[in-house]
Amino acid sequence: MSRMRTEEKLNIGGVKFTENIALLSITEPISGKISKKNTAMLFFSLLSENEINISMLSMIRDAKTVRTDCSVAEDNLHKIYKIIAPFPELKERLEVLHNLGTISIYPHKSLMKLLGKILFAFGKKKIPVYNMTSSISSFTFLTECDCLEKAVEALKENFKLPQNHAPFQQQFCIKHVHK
Amino acid sequence: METIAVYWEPTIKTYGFKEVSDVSLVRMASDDLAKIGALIHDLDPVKNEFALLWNYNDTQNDTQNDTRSICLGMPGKDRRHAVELLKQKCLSENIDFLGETYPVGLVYFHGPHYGDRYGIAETVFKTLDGKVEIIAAGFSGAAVYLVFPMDDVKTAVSLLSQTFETPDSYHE
Repeated sequence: MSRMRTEEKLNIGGVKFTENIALLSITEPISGKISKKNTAMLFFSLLSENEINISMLSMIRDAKTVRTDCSVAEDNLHKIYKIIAPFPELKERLEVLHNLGTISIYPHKSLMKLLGKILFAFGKKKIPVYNMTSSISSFTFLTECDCLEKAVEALKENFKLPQNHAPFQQQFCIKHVHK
Repeated sequence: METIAVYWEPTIKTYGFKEVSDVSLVRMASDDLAKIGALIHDLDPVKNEFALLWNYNDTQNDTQNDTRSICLGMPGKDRRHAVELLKQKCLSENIDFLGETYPVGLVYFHGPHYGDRYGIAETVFKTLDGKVEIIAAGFSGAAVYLVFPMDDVKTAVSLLSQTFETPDSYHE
């Protein structure tokens, strides 16, 4: 039996979530190095040219394929469908999941124990996880918008949050100003 | 939602590039995320740290129901012990150990507003375009993580340093 069941709650500094995220995934065959010949590279260029931010990205390759998962704010989707329309190969490979949200937990301090316990907490509550990445200080998990509250509850059961901590959402977005 | 506008710098700034050598990239899968979590949790006494975490989409397994595949970057002096322990535990807990890639090098960096601005991914991949082998990449918050074969790490950092603005101290 895992030692987790007898262990005290671990401390975490905070939880942040973002709603209305879409996951855009591309799986494509690859031989050789990742280059501009890849559909994912074309997709990154199109997003950049149209000033669309990728809030979370993971890319991993094996011998024959490369898989790219990008999260963007859902209100960009209409624009994205429009800009990929002239590129049938990209359009065909792009899979889209709607109505998702991210939950970020910090700080992780590079602790295996903390990561394991978060995955355990989400797994036990059957919270779907569509993507996950780590940054220098936090983990970010992509789940369904409807499951964000449940995910926070799962964390509260397994971790100690600072007193009076409330999960918060970013109340602003950054916009490019052309000079 | 309130909008805050900021000036976009023409050359993207970073706080400098960090390199980690001799990392093991391990991949595992199960239809029970709680089981993977318990396994990772119980590795902790080895005092091994993880360097990064990814969702790993195993093209052969992911089409099967709810299989969850994850990828972990494990550095540090206890790495070998931790990987062996992880393999054993996968076997005893009926978790699929999908493989290990070793040695790989990790390059990571962060910069102002990376999580909120567009164009970071395009700039990174355009810079490295076909010149080095990218095994994996992860962008989250203000951080960018890239995994290369060990032999490509120095080239990658050199290329990225020419594109991104780094603090002067980095070049000293």
